[in-house]
Amino acid sequence: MRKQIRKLTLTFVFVMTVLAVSVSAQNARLDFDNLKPLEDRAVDVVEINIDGNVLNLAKRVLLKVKDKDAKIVGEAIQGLEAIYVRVLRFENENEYNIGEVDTIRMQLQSPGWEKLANVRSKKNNQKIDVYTMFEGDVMSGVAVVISESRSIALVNIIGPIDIDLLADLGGKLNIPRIEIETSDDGN
Amino acid sequence: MSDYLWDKSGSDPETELLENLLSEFGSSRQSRGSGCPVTPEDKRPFWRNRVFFAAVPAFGVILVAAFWFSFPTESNERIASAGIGSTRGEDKEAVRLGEPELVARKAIKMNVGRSKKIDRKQRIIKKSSVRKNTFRSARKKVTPPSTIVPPVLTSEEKEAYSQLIKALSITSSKLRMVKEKASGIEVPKGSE
Repeated sequence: MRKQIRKLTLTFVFVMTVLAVSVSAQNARLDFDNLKPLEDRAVDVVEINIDGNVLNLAKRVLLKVKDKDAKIVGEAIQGLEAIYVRVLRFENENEYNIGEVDTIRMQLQSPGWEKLANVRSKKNNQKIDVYTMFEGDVMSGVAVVISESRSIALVNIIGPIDIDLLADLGGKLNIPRIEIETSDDGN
Repeated sequence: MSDYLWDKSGSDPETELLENLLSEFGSSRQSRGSGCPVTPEDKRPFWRNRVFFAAVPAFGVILVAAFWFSFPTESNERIASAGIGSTRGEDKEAVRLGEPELVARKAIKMNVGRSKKIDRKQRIIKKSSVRKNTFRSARKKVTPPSTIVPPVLTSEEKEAYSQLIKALSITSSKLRMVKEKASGIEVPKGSE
């Protein structure tokens, strides 16, 4: 009888731990649904959702490519669980309501998220927010929200990842080094 | 004057005496006609000459050897570089025995009759080591330049890969922008 109770307790603890880990991992996921109406108004829309099987396929390709840079990229995204990207560009300034982006920023106020960087610039009404989520010492999520007068960019990474290494990936393995636009109508 | 010397007519005792004395060294063949004695051998055509018979096969062997060495086969190069003649049989032997052993044997053959003061074993070892090195250099094969073979990808893999690269590209650029903004590199003067 005691053995059965001990077994049940251990199973319960194991299940709860797994659930806690999966729930906390899911917590790093941002909801981009309220941006749907904006997509109709945008001139250019980039929507990338990579998770599950698609991510595994892409990781497999990185393993197949016998290249030094591929190895670096592969190591950088080794623990990556998902990556979601949205980029919207509008033809005219103030074509979207900043409040619609702020709803996403509100999600980052929930417990778990920690502010890493915050840049505000009057030029182009630029607002940059970078948040990270940690599980213990391990990073479990990254969120980058950039809003400017003509564009919105959102990046949501789930899983442990080296931000510095990721920032330096530009120019490696056909990852184009997109130069930061500093002009008034910049992205 | 006696015609004895010309056609043996008449008599010439001195000449006859000489003939008798020298007869044991003379040919047994008789001259066919009168005049200068001509042996049948002198009338043979040139292709029946003994020297010609020996020269033709020798020339043929030289031709075959020249033809053989004109093609730079690996074994020919090996043997030629070692300074030893080669035949197909020897190549087979080289395969069977292994080249160092064959070379050692050849070295033994070559060194027979040379200086006997030097210890034979030492000489063989010395020679074979030289040959080994020569063979080693001759054995070096020219490796073709390595070509990067692109991986074979399915359409799904290609799509997933391109999506990941796009996502990483955007993420990388945005993170760099944040880094540079945060460190004040890109903030133009008087923008605030």
